[in-house]
Amino acid sequence: MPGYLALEDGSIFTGRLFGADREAEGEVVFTTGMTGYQEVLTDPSYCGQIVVMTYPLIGNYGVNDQDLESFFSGVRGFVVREKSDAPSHWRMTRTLEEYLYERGLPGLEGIDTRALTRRLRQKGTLQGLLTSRLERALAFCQGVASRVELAGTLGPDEILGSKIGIVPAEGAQAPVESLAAGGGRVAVGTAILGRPAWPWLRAGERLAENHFDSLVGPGQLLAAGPDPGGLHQGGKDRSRQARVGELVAEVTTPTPYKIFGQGPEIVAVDFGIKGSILRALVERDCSVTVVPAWTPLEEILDLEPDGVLLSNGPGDPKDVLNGIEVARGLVEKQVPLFGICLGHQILALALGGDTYKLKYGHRGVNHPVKDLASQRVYITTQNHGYAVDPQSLPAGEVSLTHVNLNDGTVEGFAHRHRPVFSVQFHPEGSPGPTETGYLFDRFLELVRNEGKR
Amino acid sequence: MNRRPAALRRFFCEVDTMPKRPDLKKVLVIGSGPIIIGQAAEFDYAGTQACRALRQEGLEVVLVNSNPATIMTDPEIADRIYLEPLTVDFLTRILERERPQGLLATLGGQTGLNLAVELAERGVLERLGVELLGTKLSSIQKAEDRQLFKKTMEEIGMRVAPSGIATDLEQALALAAEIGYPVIVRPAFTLGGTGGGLAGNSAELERVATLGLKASPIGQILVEKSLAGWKEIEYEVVRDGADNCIAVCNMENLDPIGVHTGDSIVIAPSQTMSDRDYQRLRAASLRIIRALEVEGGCNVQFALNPQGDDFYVIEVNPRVSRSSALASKATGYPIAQVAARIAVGLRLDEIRNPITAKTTAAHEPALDYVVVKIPRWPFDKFPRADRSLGTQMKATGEVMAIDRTFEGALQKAIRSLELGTYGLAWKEAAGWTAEELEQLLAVPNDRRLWAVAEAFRRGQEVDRVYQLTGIDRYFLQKIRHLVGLEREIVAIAAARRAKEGLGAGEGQNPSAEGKNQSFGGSKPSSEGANLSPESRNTSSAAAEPLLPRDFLWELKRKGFSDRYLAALLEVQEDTVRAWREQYGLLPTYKMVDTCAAEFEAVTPYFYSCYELEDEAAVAFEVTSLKPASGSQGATELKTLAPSTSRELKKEVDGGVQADREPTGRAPRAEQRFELTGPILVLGSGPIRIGQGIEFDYCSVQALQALREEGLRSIIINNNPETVSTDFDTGDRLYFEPLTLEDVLNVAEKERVAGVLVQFGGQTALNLAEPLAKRGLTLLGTSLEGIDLAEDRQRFDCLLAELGIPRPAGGTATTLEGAKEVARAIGYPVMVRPSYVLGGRGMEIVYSEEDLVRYIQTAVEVTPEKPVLIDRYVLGREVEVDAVADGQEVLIAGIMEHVERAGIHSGDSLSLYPPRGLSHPVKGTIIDYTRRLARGLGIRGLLNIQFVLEGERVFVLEANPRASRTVPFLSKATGLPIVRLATRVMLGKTLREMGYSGGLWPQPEHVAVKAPVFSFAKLRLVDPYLGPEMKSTGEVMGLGQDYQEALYKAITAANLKWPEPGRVIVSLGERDKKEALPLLRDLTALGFTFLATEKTATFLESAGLPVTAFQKEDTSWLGYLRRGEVVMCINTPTAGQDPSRFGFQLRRTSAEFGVPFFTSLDTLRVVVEVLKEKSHLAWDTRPLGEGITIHIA
Repeated sequence: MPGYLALEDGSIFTGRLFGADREAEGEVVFTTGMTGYQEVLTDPSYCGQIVVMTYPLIGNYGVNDQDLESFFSGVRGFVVREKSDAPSHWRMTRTLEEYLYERGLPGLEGIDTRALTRRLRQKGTLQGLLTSRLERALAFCQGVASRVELAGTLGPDEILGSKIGIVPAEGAQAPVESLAAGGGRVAVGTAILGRPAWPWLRAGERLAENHFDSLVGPGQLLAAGPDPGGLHQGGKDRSRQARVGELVAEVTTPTPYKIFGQGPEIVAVDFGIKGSILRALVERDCSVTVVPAWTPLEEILDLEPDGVLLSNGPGDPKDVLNGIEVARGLVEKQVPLFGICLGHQILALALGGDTYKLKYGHRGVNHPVKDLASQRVYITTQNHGYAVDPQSLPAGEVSLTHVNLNDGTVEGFAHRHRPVFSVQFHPEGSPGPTETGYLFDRFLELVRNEGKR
Repeated sequence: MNRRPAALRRFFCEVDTMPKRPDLKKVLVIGSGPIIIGQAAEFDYAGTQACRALRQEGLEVVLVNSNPATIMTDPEIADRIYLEPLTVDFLTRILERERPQGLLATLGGQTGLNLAVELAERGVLERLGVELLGTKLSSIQKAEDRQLFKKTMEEIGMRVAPSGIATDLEQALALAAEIGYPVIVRPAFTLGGTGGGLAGNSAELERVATLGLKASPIGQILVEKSLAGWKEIEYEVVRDGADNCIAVCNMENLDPIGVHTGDSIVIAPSQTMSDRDYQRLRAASLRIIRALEVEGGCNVQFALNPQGDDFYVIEVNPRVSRSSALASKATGYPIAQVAARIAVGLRLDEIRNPITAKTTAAHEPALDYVVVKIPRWPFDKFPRADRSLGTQMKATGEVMAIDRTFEGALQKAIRSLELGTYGLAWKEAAGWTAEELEQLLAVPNDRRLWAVAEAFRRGQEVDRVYQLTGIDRYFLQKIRHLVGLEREIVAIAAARRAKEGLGAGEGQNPSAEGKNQSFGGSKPSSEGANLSPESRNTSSAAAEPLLPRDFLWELKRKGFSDRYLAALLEVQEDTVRAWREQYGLLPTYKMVDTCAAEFEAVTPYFYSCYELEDEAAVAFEVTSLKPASGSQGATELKTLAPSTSRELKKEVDGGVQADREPTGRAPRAEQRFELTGPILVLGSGPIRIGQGIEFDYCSVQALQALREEGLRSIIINNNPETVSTDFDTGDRLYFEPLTLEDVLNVAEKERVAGVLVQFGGQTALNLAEPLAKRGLTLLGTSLEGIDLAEDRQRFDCLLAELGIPRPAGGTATTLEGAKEVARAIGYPVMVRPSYVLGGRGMEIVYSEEDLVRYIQTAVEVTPEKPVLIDRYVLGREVEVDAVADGQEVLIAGIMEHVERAGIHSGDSLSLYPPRGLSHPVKGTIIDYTRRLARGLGIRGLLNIQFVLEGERVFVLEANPRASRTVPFLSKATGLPIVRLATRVMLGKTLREMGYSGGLWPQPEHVAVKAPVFSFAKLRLVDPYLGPEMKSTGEVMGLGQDYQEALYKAITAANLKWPEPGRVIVSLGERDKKEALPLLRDLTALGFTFLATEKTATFLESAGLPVTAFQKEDTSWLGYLRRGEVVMCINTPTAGQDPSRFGFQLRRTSAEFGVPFFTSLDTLRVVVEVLKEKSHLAWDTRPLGEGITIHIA
C-alpha cells in the first residue's frame, strides 16, 4: 500500500506503508545508529515523534523479546529506506513488520532517507504526517505551506497514475478523489507483547526476597514500564498533564512500582525511563522504586531514598513543571541526584539555568563527549532535541563536566556543593556503547558517601 | 541553529593549537616492499597518508621502501626516499646515516612490523637512540606471539579458541588429539596466514603443521580448535596515547570462520548483529586494544556463535592492515593518517576529521549505505591451481562497492571484478553436476557466491544452502531474491512481447549475441563493438521498453546492470540504456561523509544509487576546490565527434585563440579545457597478476598533473587498497565499477571534457572504444591509434608499411594449418590463442608433437578463434617506454631483460641502462620507436617490446598506454613520465615543456627491477617462468654498477642468498651445455650437486662433483624439507603436470622457501653476484642523490 510522509515545509515523501495502517502525526527526527532499531522503537524519549533511521537496511535481525526499553514508548511512526522481509537472528521472535503491526505503529519504507535527513538537517526538525491517504498528506501540507512538493520513490503508476514531480497545491485535488477510496482502514493498535503476570512489583507490595529473585533476577529485567494492562491510564488525566506535559504524561508509569535489591534505595522519577537505566541500577544491586513523573516531592521524600535518579524522557523540559519542582527540592535537601538526558535538562532548569531547542537534535550512538576532568573522550548514545545553555547556569554553583566534541554543547555538569550531577547523553547505551557506565558507579559512590545511610 | 556557547569557544580553539611532541624532528617510515599475496597496495595508501600527515605536522620524513611502483616513493611524499631492500642490514645502515629520532613501522604491514621487532631485538634502535613510534615493541609482541597473546586475552576475560603452541610436529599432533579435530594451524609472525591451514585428521595435520613450522620465522605454530560455521566479525579500532579509543567500523564476513578474511566476501557495517551483539564485540575490541596498549590502528577479529551469545577472539593485528584500508574507504575515515598523527603524540580529539572539517577524529563513523568487498583471486590466470579457500590467503587484490542496498553493492562489486560476469551468473554454472554444485557450496572456493545463486536457480531451499555453506540466511535470502527477480524479468518481458506480438530478441538481434554479452565472458574490449550510434537510435525509438518503469527502477536499485538485463532479455545493452533514458532513470550520487548526513561534509567522495536526491551536483558548489578561472559556460558539453586528438586540439586551441585577442594575454595552459569541463581518469580496478599497483601509480600521477594544470579531475576506481581511492587525490572520487555503464553515467553526469584511458592498465584501455563510440572524447592517442596497436593483423600491416621487422608468423584455424605454419617458420615457435591478452595460454613449442598436444589440449581452434604462431626468436628482450606528442618522441629509457624472450617481461629481471646493446642496436631501437609512435599517432605513452637476434631488432608488441615499467623507469631516470604524458594528452608539446625527442640521457648509476612471486601461497601452481606472467609484484635495486644493483634487487625480492652447500640440479637436454660454465662457477664457490640421473651423468663427464639420485626416489624431498638443500636449478621440459618430478621439485622449493631457478639467465646473474658478493661494498643512498629528479 502506498504511504506518504507529509512535512510542514510542504514536501511529501512517498513510499510503501508497512506495519499498522494508521495515521501518525509528530515531529520528524532522524537517528544515525546503524543497529538498535528495536531499542529506538521502545525508547520513550521518542514519544510524539516520527523516527527516521538513516541506516538504509532496517529489521535485518528482526525483533526479540529481550531488547526492549519499555512496553510503551509513544513513538508515532517509523521511516526506513528498506525493511527486511527475511530477517535472521537466533533471538528473533518476530519481524519488524509484525512488531509494528502488533504495536499499532505505522511504518514507511522505500523512501530516500538520506534526502529526508539532509532536509531535516538543513531546515531543522519538522512536523510531519505519516499516512496512507494522499489527500490527507496534501491537506496537511496545505495547512502549513503554500506549495506542495511531491517526492516519491514509488513509481507514478502506483501513486497518481500521472507524472511525478512538483504538484502545485491547487492542482492537487483531482488525484485525491481517485485515491480516496483506498484509504480509511481502521488501525490495529493492541499491544500483545505484555503478559498478564508481568514481573513488575508495585510499591509497597513487599515480598520475601527469595520470592522476588524467582520473579525478577537482573537478567530477566526486560523493559521499563508498568503492567501493560494499565497502559497510560494516568496520561489522560488533565491535571497531571498540566504538571508534567503531555508527552511525559503519556509515557510515565501511572503507578509506582519497585524492584528489590540488596543495595541502596534509589527512587527513579520516571519521565519515560528506559529499561536499561533500571537494568544498570539493578546490576549494581540497587533497590529501585520507580515513581510517576507527577509524584510530589513529599511523596518521594517519604520513600526515604538514598539517591534519586531523574530519568530520560520526551519533549521540552520546561513542560515538566513537577519535575523541576521536585529536582529543586531534592537539591535543597541534599539528596544525591543523578540526571540523565531530560532529567539533566530538568535539573538545569531547577538550578536556575535555561534550555533551548536544537535545530535538529542529537540522535545516534556515535557522539564524542569529553570528560573535562579526565580529559578522556567517550563515544556516547544521544537522543535529545533540547540542550542546556551553559551561560545560563549559575557559575558559582555549577561546573561543566562534559562537553560535546562535535558542536560544543553541554553534555554534563555537576553541582559544586551538593551531591548532584547530570549528563545529557545516555550512559546506559542501548542502543549504543556503554562505556560511560562508570557514571552509574559515580552516582552510587555519591549515594554511599552522601546518602542518608 | 546550534549554538556553540562562547564559554566553550576557547576549548575549541585549543584543538588547533595543541602541540605535538617537540622532541621529534625526523622520523623514518618503513614501507611494506613488493606486492605479494597478503600484502598489497593497501600499504601504499597507508604509507602515503602517513608520510603526508607527518610532514604536515612539521616533521622531516625519511622513507624506506623497495617497491618503485608506489606513490609513497614519489619525491614529493617524503623528504628523503630510500629505494633499498627491506632487510635489517640495509635499514641499520640507513638509520646510521639518517639518525632519526623516531621509527614508524606500523604502517608497513607485517614486513614493517617484523623489521621493527628485529631492529629492536638486535639492539640497533637502542644503540642509535631511535624510538619506536606508535605501538610499542612489547605490545607488538603481545599481539603477535601466540602464547603471550592468549595469556593477555585471558587476563582481561576474553576467550580465545582452545589451542596450544607447538614447536614441533609431535607436539602439534598431541595438542590436536587433546583439542579434537578439525583444528586450524596458524604460524606465528607471518602475514596472510602463510603456511597455515585446516586439518581434519592427523595425516592432514602432519602436512599442514610441517609447512607452518617452516613458515614461521620463530618455528612456532598455534594449533587451534576450528570454529567452522561461526560468524567472522572484524572491528577496526583506533587508540591514542591518552587511552582514548574509538571503533571506526565493524565488518561482517559473508563466509563463516575458516576462510581467511582476505579471501572472504566482507560487508560493512555488519548486517545480522543486534545492537547488543554489536556493542558487546565493540566493548571487547576496546578492551583488547587497551590491554595491548596499541597506539594507532588495530584490527580485531572475532568468531561469533550464530546460535548464542558467546564469542571468541581470533586474531589481533596491532597495525594498520588490509582491513583498515577497507574500513577507511568504506567509512571515509582516514585511519592511516590518524594512526600516523597518534604515533607522533597527538590525541584523537586534537586531530581534525578532514571529512567534515568541523568535527575531530574522535568520532565513530555512521554509515548510511552498505559496502561489499569481494576478493580478486588469480585463478583466471591459474585455472589448475587449488581453488579452495582456507586460512591461507590466495587473493591478489579486492574490489569494493557502495550502494544503498546490499543487492546493489553486491552486484556492483561483482562487475568490478572484471571476470566477464556482470551479475550472479557464472558461465560454466549450468554445466555443474549436482555433486559438483554441492562441493562448490560445501568447500569454500572462489566461485561459491555464484554456486549459491546457481543452487537457488535450481530450486534449492535456503536451509539446505545454509547447511552446506554456513552463510547467514539473511544473505542467502537476498541472493535468492535476486535469482527470483531474474525469473520475473524474463517473465514480464515475455508477457510484454506476447502482448505486442514481438518475437524474442527484437528481431534484429540474434538471441545468442545477447547471451554472450554477459554469460559468455567475451573479452571486455569487444564491449559494444557492434553498436553504432545508428543502431542505438533505432532500437530505442522502435521498441517499447520490455520492462515497466517502476520495475526497472526497482531492478536498478537492486544493482542489476544494463548489460546483465540485456543478456537476460536478449537485447543490446544500449537498448536497456535507452529505456532508462526514456524513463528518466539515471543514477543519483550520494556522498560518503562518515556521519550519515548529520553534519555538512566537504568530501568529494561519491557512489551511485537509484534514489531521489543527487548530491554530486550540490557538492559541486560546495567542494569546487579549484574554481576554474573564467569558467563561463562551464556546463556546456562539447559534443566533439569521436576524433583524433589533433582535431580536439584544434577545437580547443580555437577556443583559446578567440579568448586571447580581447584580453591580449598569452593563453595559459590551464585555460585550455575550462570551457568544456573536468577530465576523467579511469583507474585500474583490483590488483591482479599482470595489472598491479603500477597502474594506480600512473592514475595518481595523472591526477596530480591535472591538478598542477589547474584542471578539475575526476577519478573512477573500485579498489579500496589504493592511493587513487583516497578522496583527496583527485577533485572528485567516484567509487564505481569500471564498466561502460557506470563510467558513462559518471562521464555524462559530470559532462567531462575528456577521458584519460592510458593510465588504468588494460581495464581503462578496454573502455576506450565503447566510450568513444558514445561520443566521449579520448584525450591523447586516438581510438584509431589504439586499435592499430591492439589489432594483431592491423599492427602487422603497419609494421610492414613502416619497414619494421617482426618475427615471422602466421595464423591457423585448424590443426593441419597450424602444423603447416609452424613447419614453414621452423621450430621452436611461440603459440597462443588470438583472443586472450597478457600471455595467457601462450607457450613455446619445440616440436610438432608438442604442437599437436598444445592444439588438442590447451586451446580451442576454430575459424572464430584462430591460433597465432610466431617464430620464437631465442634472443634478448628489450623494452622501451616513450612519450610522444605527435611530433617529438621522447624515449625515457631502454630496459634490457636478463631472461631471454619466452619469459614474460613482467617476470624478468630488468636492467637499466641496458648493458649489452651495441650502438647501432640502440640506434635502431630509437628509430623504430620513433617510427612506430608516429605510425600509431601516439599522443601520450607508448611501450614497445623488442627481441634481438644478434644485431637484428624485431618488434614483438606495442602498448599504447602506460606500462608496468613506467614507475620503475620514472624512478631510475628521474623523468616524470606520467606527468609529461598527461600534459601531452592535454595538448601541450614536449618542446613547450622544455623537452626534446630522442633517448633521455642515461644516468651514471644502474637500476634493476626484480619480480616477486607469491608461489608459496598458491598450491598446484607450477612456479616455472614462461610466457604467462606469474609474479605479483616487483622491487628495484639501485647501485653504482650492475653487481650492486642486482644484489640489492635480488635481496629486496626476498631471495635468500645461498651459502655454499648442496644444490639440486635437473636440466633439460637442450640446456645442459649452456649450464656448464655456471655450474663450474658454483663449484668454485664451494657448492656441490645432487642431480637426477641424466644430469648427473653429464656433470660427472664434465668433471663436477655430483651425487646422482632417482627421480622416483623421494629422498630429495626430505633434503628440501630439512633445509639441507640451499638451492635448486631446474629447467622445465613439460611444465604444469603435477605428477612429474620437475613440478614437484619446483613446488616443494617454493613452499619451503628454497631459492630455485628455472631460467639459466637468472642463474647467470645470480652467480655473477655470488662471485662478487664478498667484495661488494654496497652503499645506501636516497633517491635523487646522484641523479636529478625533474618535476615538470
